[in-house]
Amino acid sequence: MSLELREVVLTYAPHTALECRALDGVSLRVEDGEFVGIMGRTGCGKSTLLQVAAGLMRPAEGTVLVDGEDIYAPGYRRSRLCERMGVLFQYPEKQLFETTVEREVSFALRHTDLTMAERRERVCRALELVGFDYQKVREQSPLGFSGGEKRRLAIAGVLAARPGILLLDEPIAGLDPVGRQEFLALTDRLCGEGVTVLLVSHNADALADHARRIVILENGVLAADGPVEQVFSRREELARWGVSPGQAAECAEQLRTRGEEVPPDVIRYGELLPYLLRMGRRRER
Amino acid sequence: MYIIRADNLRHSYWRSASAGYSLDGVSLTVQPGEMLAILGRNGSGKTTLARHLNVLVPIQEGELTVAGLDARQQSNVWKIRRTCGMVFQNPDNQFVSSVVEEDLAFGPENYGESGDAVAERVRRVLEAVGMSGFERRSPHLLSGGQKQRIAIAGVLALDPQVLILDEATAMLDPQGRQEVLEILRRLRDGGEKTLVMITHYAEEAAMAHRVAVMEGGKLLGEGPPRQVLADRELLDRAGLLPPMAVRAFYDLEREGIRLPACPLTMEELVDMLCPLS
Repeated sequence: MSLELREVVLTYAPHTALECRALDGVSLRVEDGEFVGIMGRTGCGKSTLLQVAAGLMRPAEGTVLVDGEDIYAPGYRRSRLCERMGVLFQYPEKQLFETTVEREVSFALRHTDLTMAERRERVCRALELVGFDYQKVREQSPLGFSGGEKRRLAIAGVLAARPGILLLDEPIAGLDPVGRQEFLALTDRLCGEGVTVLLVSHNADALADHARRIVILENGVLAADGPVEQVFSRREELARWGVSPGQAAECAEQLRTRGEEVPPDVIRYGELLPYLLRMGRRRER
Repeated sequence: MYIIRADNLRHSYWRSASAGYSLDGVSLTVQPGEMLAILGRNGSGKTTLARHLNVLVPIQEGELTVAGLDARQQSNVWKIRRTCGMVFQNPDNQFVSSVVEEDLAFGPENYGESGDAVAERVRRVLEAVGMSGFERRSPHLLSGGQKQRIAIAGVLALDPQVLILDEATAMLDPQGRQEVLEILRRLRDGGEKTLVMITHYAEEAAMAHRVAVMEGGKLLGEGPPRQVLADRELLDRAGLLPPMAVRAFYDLEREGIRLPACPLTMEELVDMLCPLS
């Protein structure tokens, strides 16, 4: 599914002393099956962007199109949007409330016309996708799981609805390195199956490995939008936007300041290693 | 003399052995002024351990002494909480007031301190976290790093001997994270506070004096960062990844390039590979 924002403006607390323009004319088009990383410092409008895209906050100006249809137009069927959009808010582990894992993960399916067998099949598959054994966990209380496990349960609850677009707000912050890798492998896989993914994160290393395109917001304005190698090589601007291009890119920059020739599009560990080896060999001699 | 001494702590949230233990026989000591990093993946028991240290969960099995106080005695619980301050992951959950200075005064005022003494404390802790001048601001309107620095100041205002940080940087943007780490470095170097830092970032654990690795409610190993973080086998058993610099060290070694020591940060790696002349 494709998603398009056209000149979107959203203002919090309009006409008050606390008025804040969270999105200020943002235009963005994301194609079917794309994986886009959204970055920018705290308060730049990332979460607001996701919520407007999810149909949760009507923008003051501009339009939001899902598969070409204006989701805020009168007469648009909101229930259809709910079936197509999977939204994972920050700290989704805090939203768990049901008595059993099965009830929790199937919650979004409650108002669909799926049969019980179909629902069970979806819950089972969603739990498997996030690494749980359905038979083992289905009757357990979600509240007894650890923080990282609850996060995975919450994700399963979103996936059970089989959304065509996934809007993920900081899904990997607070996950351990292996959990992070597993989660990103899962989003890669869903993306490969045609799901469109927008993922908000501060973790440039993770985005460099998984997203092909990076969007950066600054003060509610789209500051950059392009292929990850291109965006992450704009070093001076990144610093201004409060975005770190990740450990490998930072290291490459340090090497450059010491006179080493390292191209600006070295942003991943695998790309950095040959230069480290070159220097190591020189040092040996 | 240890400030924290845990002996064979065991804890089950379900109070039943069949449900498994979140802490399964943890013994640990911490010296005054030491910075200890507790490293472990999600669900390894590190938060449960941290919550024992100021008795947010009752001691079920084993012994715990904090600043000479036996944590099993109910009468010691409040004294221990005064000794051990805790900073949590989400800065937004830790404010009680909509004005920074009132938020910071909340703790000391509750302990019955006079207005002048409280004002002086607020001034001092704001300075300690580099936030002087933010007295009249609203904590909710600050950046992530600033919020977390105010949360740390709120704990410092009670002048605890021990500061426990439970993944205090996990939700911050890169700048905010650097700001908080800088404060922690300062506190570490000051040597007055004992710091217990819960994290799953091996890169952050590198700044501690000592690193303890947890998995399955047990302590898998502990030692100086240079020993623990370079121990790939140990980190692997704990479901953790080594810092990028350690990974580079071993990748270089495989190609026959030996560095004088295993670097823990990319800065150290750069210094080793191309020293400033």
